[in-house]
Parts: sequence; structure tokens; C-alpha cells
Amino acid sequence: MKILNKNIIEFKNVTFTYPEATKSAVKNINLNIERGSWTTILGRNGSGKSTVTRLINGLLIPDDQEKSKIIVDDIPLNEKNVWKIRDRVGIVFQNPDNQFVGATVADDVAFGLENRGIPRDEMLKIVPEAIKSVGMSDYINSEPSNLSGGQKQRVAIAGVLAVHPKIIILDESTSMLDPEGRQNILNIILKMKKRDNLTILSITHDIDEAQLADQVIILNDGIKVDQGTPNEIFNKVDQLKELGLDVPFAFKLKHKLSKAGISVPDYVNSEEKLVKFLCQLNSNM
Amino acid sequence: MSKILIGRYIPGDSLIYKMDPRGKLLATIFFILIIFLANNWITYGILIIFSLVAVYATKLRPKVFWDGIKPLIWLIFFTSLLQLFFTSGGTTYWKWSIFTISSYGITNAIYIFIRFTLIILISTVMTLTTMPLEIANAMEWLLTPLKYLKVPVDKIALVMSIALRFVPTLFDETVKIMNAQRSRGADFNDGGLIKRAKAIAPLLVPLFIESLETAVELSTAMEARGYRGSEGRSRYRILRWSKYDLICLVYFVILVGLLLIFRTR
Repeated sequence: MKILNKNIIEFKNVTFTYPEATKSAVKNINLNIERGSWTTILGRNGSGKSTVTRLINGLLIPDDQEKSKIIVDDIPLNEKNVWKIRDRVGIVFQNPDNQFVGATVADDVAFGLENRGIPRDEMLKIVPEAIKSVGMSDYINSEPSNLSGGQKQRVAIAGVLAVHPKIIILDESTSMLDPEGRQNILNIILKMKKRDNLTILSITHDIDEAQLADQVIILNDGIKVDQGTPNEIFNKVDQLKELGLDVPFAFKLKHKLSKAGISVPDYVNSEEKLVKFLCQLNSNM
Repeated sequence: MSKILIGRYIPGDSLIYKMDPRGKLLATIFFILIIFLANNWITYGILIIFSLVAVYATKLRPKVFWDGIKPLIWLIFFTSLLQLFFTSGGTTYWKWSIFTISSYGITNAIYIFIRFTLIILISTVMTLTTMPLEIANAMEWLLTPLKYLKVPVDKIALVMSIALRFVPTLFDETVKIMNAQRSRGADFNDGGLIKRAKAIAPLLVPLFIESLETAVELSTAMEARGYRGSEGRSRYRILRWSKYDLICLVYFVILVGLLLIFRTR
């Protein structure tokens, strides 16, 4: 058996300029995303996050293709392979309304399967299963206008899961949802990631979502600024503030505490751990 | 706008609901054609009875059918009145310059009235009991022979189903934009014709932009999900003929038979 590359997505010197734009949206980016990992891309509006996701499955083609390289699941992205790569990558977009193609939930989930020419007998098995896995079985024949935003996003995930991709990209998928809907979607994704050993690439402004990641990448003005574990990244509070990004509350407090002379150890990376640490600190004094 | 019944679907579970949408669509078109076979009291009576049976078979409240006829009632009356005043022949009861009321005129007016009402009634039976999506599927099936003339039937079908899927979404969007403009002082219901037409601009412009943006996003999403034209696609939704369609066929054969027997030559 062929040994698979450890990295499922590789970008080498990728630059992309939108037509009629004077500035490149993405400049000379190198990326390595590990198989089975959860990666979050953070960045201000207009920093090129969404452009990166569209480059991965060939919705956008990088400038000067000779010098740059995009490899997804060991397949180099080019005109011939673009459909192979799209089979391996599923994207859940931001606006739940504008990615719902079918007239009912079942039709929409089946859309990706129809495109791949899966026979109907198989679809009849796959579609209800995918809908069940996102907890939407009661709505199988509902029309999109009767669903909430969170439910529509769950259907979008079901549509992505039905075609069994290796990579799921969440392009600000939770940004239009309320906190409960957001949590709901993230729980489903986490469960599916474990079950199918998926690679998740999420783009978000939501700091809590970023903390779920194994790895955080920071983009600013189309340039990769930093890459590291959430712990490493969020400890750089001042640098992130300069880039206009938010930091989780626990890290902000840690930062303030260390400025006040109380050093907090590295393993403290959530509110609960911080509370526990502060209580211990208090009882020691 | 919720008063408009055209294209509205009311969920139900009667005999007509179980019929194949293709059968219903063909039956409706066929009914409109055979209505012109009727030319005397008996044949019109037969048509009325058969349509009322169809209406009854939907098991819907009669009021919804009245709602279907109501918006067109003036057109029906207008046409009937024209028939009444401008047909001569038979015994003339009343005459004044070009207007006449004759026995022919009266019968013709009543025939026209019945014809109109029955056509609306039967098409309402179809739209009320068939989901818009099913109607689109049925139309696609009807268009299939055009494939041999190189008409892209699959793409037309996709366009139809996407259009239908976005009708409620765009309608919601319209209401939202109207409310947003109202909250800034726009007035959609007052003033003369020109003033009202001008008030539409702040509604239409954002709606156009919105639909174009939606189209771009939707096409990106479709492409990301592996859509590359209609070739090689399989189908999830299929239509099946059932025994209920056979009932419908027999029903129409009897109807045509009766019409032909009692028709005056």
C-alpha cells in the first residue's frame, strides 16, 4: 500500500489576485495541514481567509500556476484533477439560505450524490442516514422556508457528509447562528470528525470555536502571520490585538495577571482551569 | 398576498393527493380541451357533476375553491355579459340600439359562465393538491420528448426547481426590505399612480441586487458540491404511476364517452 503523505493539504507559494483588483487577496502562502487535524484560520475581514478555502477545491485558480503548488490528499490541483479533489472536500458556507439547492431536505442532501451519478437505490440508503446523523430525521420532507438557520446548516452538513469527503471546510458556517445553533453544529462536526477521521478546516471569528482546533493559522492582509497551537497563539495577546483579533477571556485575564506580577502556568487554557487555579492560589496565600 | 391562491398548495391525504403529478397535469389540460365538446344542457350538466366529484374527492373545504374563483369573478361576469348583450337569434326579448337580449344570448352567457368556472375549478384542484416541485417534475416529464430537438430539458428542470425553491425566500426578503424602507419613512400604499411607482424603486433595487448575490453564492455552492452540468447525473426524485392514475384515466374515458353520446350534432 502506498504510504500517504502526513499532510492532507499543502500550499506552496500560492498567490491569488481577484480580477480587477490591484492588491493580491492571498500572497505567497505556504500551508501544511495534517491528516485528521482541526485547523482554524483566524483573521480580520478581508484578510483572505475565504479565498484560501476556495483555492483548495479549485473554485479559484492561483496566479502563475507554474511557481505555486496546491496538493490535496496527494493529488496536485490542476484542471484534470479538480473534480477528484472536489469529491474529497466538502464546504459548508456562511449563509444557510444560499447553499440550499433542493426543494426539500432530502432533495438537498441528495444533490451532491446526484452530481456524482450515484444510483438511486444507494441514495435511498445514504440520504436518510446522513439526515439522521445530523438529527434532522423529522424534517426529511420539509421545505427550506420552514426551517430555521441552524437547521438549514445541519442539512448542509448532511449534504457534505453524504458524499463522504475527507476534508470538511467550515467557511464561517456558524456566524449567522445563535449560540445554541452554533454549539449544536460544532457538536455534530466534532462527532463526525471522530467517527470518520475527517480533517476540519474552519474559518471563523468565533474565538471559542478557534479553541477547539489543534492548530491556529493567523492571516493578515493576505499574508500568513503566525501558526501554532491555540495555546501558543492566544498567549500573544498584544500581537493579536494589533491585528484586530479577539482573544478568549481566560487568556486576556491571564495576560492582565502576568502584567500584575502573577504568573499563570501554561496548562491553564480555559475558564474552568483558570477558576480552579485562582482558587488554589487563594487558598495557598 | 397570502390571498392569492394560484400556485398555493394545501397539504392533505385524499385520493387526489395520491395521484401522480404527471397524471394530474395531463388530466387538467385534457379537461380544458374536452370542455369544448359540451354544447347542450345535458353535456354541461355532466361536466358540472364530474367536476364536483373531482372537487369532492380532494376532501378540502369548499371555501378554498371559492377563494380560487373569487379573483377572476369579474372577468367571468364581464365575458358572460358580453355574450348576453351581443348575441342575437332565437326569440328576442329586448332590443336597444346594438344591445339585444335573446334566448340564444341567455343560454350562451350561462354556458360561458359554466365553462369559465369549471376550468378555474379543475385547475385549482390540481394546484391545491400538487406541490410546486411535483408540478415542475411533471412539466419536465412532459418536455422530455424535446430532448430530441436538442432542448436542454435537464437544465430547464433544474432552473424550474431552483426558481420554485426561491419563491418563498425572495418573498420573505421582499417583506423584510419593505419593512426596512417603511421604518425609514417610505410609503408604499399612498399617492397617485406615479408616486406609487416611484416608491417601488427602493424596493426593487435591493431585491435585484439580493437575488443576483444569491445566484452567485448558490452557484459557488453548487459547484463546490460537484455540480458540473446535467451529464452523468443520477436522480433521487422519481415519479411513479399508481392505481389512482388508472382510476383517473377510467374517469375521463367515461366522461368523454358520455359527452360524445349526449352531444347534439
